[in-house]
Amino acid sequence: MTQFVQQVVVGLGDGSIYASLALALVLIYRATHVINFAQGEMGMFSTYIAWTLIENHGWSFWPAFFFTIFVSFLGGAAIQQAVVRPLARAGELTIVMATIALLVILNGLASWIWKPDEKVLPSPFPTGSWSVGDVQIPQQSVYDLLVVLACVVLLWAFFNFTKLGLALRASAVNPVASRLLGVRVTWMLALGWGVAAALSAVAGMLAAPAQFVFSPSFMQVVIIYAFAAAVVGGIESPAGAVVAGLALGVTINLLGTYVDFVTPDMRLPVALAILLGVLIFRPGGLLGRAVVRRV
Amino acid sequence: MRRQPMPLLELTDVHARYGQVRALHGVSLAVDEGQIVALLGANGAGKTTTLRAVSGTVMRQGGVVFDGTPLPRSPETAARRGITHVPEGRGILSELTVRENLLMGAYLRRDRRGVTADLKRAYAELPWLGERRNQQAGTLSGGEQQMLALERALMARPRLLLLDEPSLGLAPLVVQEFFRLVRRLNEEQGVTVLVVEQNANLALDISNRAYLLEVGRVALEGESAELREHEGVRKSYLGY
Repeated sequence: MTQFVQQVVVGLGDGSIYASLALALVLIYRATHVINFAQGEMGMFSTYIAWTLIENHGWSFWPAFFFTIFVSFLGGAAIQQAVVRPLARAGELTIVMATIALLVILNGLASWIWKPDEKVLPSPFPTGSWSVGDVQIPQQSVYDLLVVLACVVLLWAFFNFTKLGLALRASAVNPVASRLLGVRVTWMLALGWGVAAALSAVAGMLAAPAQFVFSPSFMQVVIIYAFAAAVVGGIESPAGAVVAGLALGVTINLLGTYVDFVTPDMRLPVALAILLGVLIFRPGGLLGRAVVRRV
Repeated sequence: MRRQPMPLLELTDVHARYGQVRALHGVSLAVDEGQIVALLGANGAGKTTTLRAVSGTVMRQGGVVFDGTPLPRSPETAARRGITHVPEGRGILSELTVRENLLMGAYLRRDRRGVTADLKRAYAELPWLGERRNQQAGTLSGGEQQMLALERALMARPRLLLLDEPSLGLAPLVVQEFFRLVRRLNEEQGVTVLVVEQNANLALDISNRAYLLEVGRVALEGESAELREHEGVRKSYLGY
C-alpha cells in the first residue's frame, strides 16, 4: 500500500509534465488545426535558455524560469508570424511538415550552440521526501504537480474571464466572423502560439531536473507521451489533455512497479498501446466534445 | 450656406472578383445616414459581394468612402470605423455561449458600463436570450441564431449595419419579428442599415431606398415606394 501511494505521487509528478505539454498541443490544435510536432523541441530549446542564464550568467532558478517563459512566449509568437502565417493558405498538411522541419532545425541548432553532451539543470525544489507514516512522498513530484496545476488554473482564468481570452477562443472557432467583429485574428493566433511555447518551456524546465541530466533530445520521449495524452483526452479538450496526462503518468508508473514485463524500456510501447486501446473504443478521446451544430 | 448632405457610405464604380471570377462590374451607390437601403436582385446578381466589398472581405477595386474618408479593404478597420457586417450564415460563434457571443459583439468598445447596460437591454428585448445566456450558441435554432446575430451586431453600437439575407430559411413569423426589430433600431437609435434581401416585397416594405442589381451592375435605383410601382420590378420581382 505504501509503495502504491508513492508510485501514484511519482506518477502525478511525471504526468504533470506530460499534461502541460499536451495542453500546449491542444492550444495550437484549436488555433491552427494542426499537431505541432516541434512542441517538445521548443520546450527543449527554452530549457537550454534557462540553463545558460543559470550556468553562464549566474541567475538563480526562479528569475531564469520566469524570464525563459517570457522569451519562449515571444519565440512562439514569432514562429507563428514567420513560419506558420505565410503557410496558412497552403493547407494544414504543409504546416504539419513545417513543424517537423522546425523540430529537426531546433534540435540541430541546440546541438550546435550547446554541444550534444549532457547538461544538468539544477532542481528548484528539495530532492528529499516527506515521510507520512510509512510512505515516502518525493517532494519534487508534488511541486511539479503544483506548478503545472497553477499554470492550468491561470490559463483557465485567462480564457474564461478575460476579454483577450474570449477573443482568442472566438478566433479559433470562427476566424472570419471574428474579423468582422474587429478582432485581429493573426495577432490572436500568434498569442496562442506564444502561450503554447510558454507552456512547453515550463514542461522542459520541470522535465530536465526530473531526468537529472538533459541533452538536445531529452524532450523527444516526453513529447510522445504528450501526444498520447492530447489524443486520449480528445485533441480539442484542454481539460482532457490535463486529466489524460496525469492519468498516463500514474498508469505508467503503476504498471512499471507491479507488472514485470513493463521495464523502463517497455514504458513507451505500453503507453502507446494504451493510446490505441482507448481510441478503438472511444475514437473522439475520453473527453472529446461532441459539438452540436445546427445550420 | 447649408452644406450638401454627404452620404454615410458611398460606392463609386466598385469592381470585385473571387480569384479570376468577376462578381461586380462597377457598382455605384450611396447610403444616407439614418436610412434603410435595400439591395435587390436575383441569385448571383452581386448583392452579397457588394456587402463584402464594403466590409473588405473580397478583392475589390474602386471607391469606397465611409463618413467622408476612404475605407481600406480590411474587415478589422471597417469594424473599427463603425461598420458591423452580419454575414451570410450569420457568423455565429457556435461553440461559444449566447452571452459570450454578445460580449464579442462589443469587442471594440472600451466602456464597460455601457456594455453591461446594453447586455441587459438585449436580455430585456428578447427574454429568451437572457434565459439561455449560458447555452452554446450553435444549439439555437436558425431563427434564434439570426436574432442573436442582430443583437450581437447592436452590441457594437454600429453606425452602419450590413445585413446579408436575414430572412433566408426562416419562418415568416420570425422574419416579421426580425424586421420589426431592425426598423425600431433604425427609428429609435438612428442605425443606418444596408440590407440584402431576395424577398423584394419585404425589402421594399421596410426600406427607404432600394437598388436593383443585375449581373454585377446597378440596373435600377430609387425610392422604395417608386420602385414598387415600377412595372419591370413588379413583373420580375414582385410577381404581379
